[in-house]
Amino acid sequence: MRRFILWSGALCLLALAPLFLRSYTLYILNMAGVYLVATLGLNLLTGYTGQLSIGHAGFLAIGAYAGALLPAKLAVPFWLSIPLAGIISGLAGFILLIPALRLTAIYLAIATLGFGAAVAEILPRWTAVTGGYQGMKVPKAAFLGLTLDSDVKLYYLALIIVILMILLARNIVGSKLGRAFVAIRDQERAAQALGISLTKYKASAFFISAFYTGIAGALYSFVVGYISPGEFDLAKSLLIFMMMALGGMGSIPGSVVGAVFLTFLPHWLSGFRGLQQFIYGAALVLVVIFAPYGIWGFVRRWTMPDKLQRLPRPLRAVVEFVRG
Amino acid sequence: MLRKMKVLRWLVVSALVFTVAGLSIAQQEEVPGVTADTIKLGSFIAQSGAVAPIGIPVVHGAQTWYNFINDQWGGIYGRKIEFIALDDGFNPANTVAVVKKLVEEEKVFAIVNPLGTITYQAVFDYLVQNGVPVVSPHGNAVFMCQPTVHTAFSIQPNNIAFGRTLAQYAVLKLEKQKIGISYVQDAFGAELYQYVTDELSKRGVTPVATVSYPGTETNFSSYVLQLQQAGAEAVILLGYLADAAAILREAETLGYKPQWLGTNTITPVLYQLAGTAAEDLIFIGFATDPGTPYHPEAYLFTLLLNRYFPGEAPSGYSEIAYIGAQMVTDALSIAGPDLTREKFIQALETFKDWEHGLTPKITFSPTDHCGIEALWLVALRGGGAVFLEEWDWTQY
Repeated sequence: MRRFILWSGALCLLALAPLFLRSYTLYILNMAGVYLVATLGLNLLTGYTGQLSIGHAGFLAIGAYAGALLPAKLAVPFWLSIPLAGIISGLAGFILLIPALRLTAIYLAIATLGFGAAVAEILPRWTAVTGGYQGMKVPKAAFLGLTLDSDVKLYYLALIIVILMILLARNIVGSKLGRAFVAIRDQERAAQALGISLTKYKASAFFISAFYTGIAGALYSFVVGYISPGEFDLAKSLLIFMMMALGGMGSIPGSVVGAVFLTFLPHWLSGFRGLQQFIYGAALVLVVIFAPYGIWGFVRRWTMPDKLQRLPRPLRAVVEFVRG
Repeated sequence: MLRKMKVLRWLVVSALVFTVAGLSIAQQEEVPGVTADTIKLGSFIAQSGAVAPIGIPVVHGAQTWYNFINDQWGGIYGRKIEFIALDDGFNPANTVAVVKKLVEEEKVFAIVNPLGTITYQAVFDYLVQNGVPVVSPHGNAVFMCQPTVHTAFSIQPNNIAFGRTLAQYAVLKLEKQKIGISYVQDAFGAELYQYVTDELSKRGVTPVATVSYPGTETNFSSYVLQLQQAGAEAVILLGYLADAAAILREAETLGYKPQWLGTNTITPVLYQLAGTAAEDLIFIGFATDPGTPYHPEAYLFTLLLNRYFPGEAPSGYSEIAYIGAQMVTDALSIAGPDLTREKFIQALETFKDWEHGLTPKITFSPTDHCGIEALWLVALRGGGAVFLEEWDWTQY
């Protein structure tokens, strides 16, 4: 019951946010939503299944271009083009399955790096379809006669997508699929011995992860309104990776925290952009040393019953209320 | 007693409400970015990341002129110019955020000296829809002034001018028939290539060799070899400074010396990067080299730049931003003390043969907001730049 109150309260707050937030802040929130979904996707693959990927910007790019081209060139209605973009990206995910079945850890990372670089090279050269280096303008999303041409309207689209994708992720994680993922991550051989087919489950992991990132890419297209191949580079892949690592690998709230925090950070630091790279690097190092499970891992550890006693009273009361 | 208090409370609240309402209505009627003593001008210029070496001089060049106007004459009609140049890191997604901040929070009067093609492209529709004037974007792309948009004014010549001028000069003036082209694989190189080849085909000339390379290329030997083996007598370089230097050095080792032609990205700094290989390269400029002797306007620029940013070497990037800023302040001045966006636009449209001695003449009209059309052909000779002639591609 308490949980229900908490979540409905949060939902109301989110739904009413446009009333008291500026369009600029809503735009950044929309971007945070995009990265949230992408981070969820990467987390399902790396955090839960243990398959390292630093080429996810490739899926983001595929989703973005598919999401923009389907309505622009093939007159696909936009409510269909977002999931379709996700599926196209998901199918592209199978490309990575081939190295994933043969390589582990750093070697798989290199293969994913190659994938990301390949996508970044193909997109600008396929000028007939993508508009080349100049990039392309994304047609405005329209649904039942309503055009999503303001940050407020796009906010609600992003909110709906984010909520759906989080619920889906929770479902996956709590299901047989999720348990198989974790088994593969923790002890691949033992998992095989238990009859978990590596091919089948790794394939599912790559498909789902690429699907998520593709959806994020399509949303990115509509939120920004303009996409160019140069944006989907290694730096972008590493950004998503950072969001996952900083927020918390293998956790859904961690993905939310990491994505929102790192999306807002550059805008908080807008006077000190040069510092941004330094902070990113420093944060990553600190996280690895002190909080290997990210911010969320840190929060969880310090709200465990034994640690709870050490917290000051008011904080303890809040945690206990949330716990129910 | 209680009644009186209630009435009093209602009176106070109503007074407050009406005051606030009155103030907000008054706010709405004001011109955005203009107060009694300031004019807010916004810009998006990359000051971090790969494009920072271009962006930072651009900020400094523009800021130099605005500072000068503020310090020397207290601004325009008593209004000091506040130049807010936000860093978008050359990432169009950031540009959208930065522009929203400038337009909706800072409520700038106009966007001036913005940097970049893809960055401007991402926010172009938004700025047009919101009626925000944009003056002097730093980029060469065609969309910036064609088709004509009421609120957007360019100063830099676009890729049509560059591409066609290079092709025309090679064929008509230098009378070369065997022409080679090298271009960098990005928006800049691709668009230039389009117009060079179009103009060449109009003249009945097919390039004997065309090479293209990614922006990250470091080894140009195979490209130069291709050009040499095709026997190109003139090679049109459509790229940036570092890659041009690498190509020239490579050609020198091969003993290959065609007539090199370049665009506005070439500056005499090429001598430092390529040494004697840079000799006799002909490139297109549209601004007087800051180091030109006996030139008061160029000297003033170097003087002012040194005053506000001591130690910064004048470059083509800071100079064009400086000139763009001059365009802005001249228009603000012509618009008069009763400043509105519409008056600012009309003031710009009165520019006929406008120049401050550093560029070819610029003329605007309600149907033509493109800036420089005629270009200056310059040769690298004896360690410096030598002016050859002015070339108006529209005349051929």
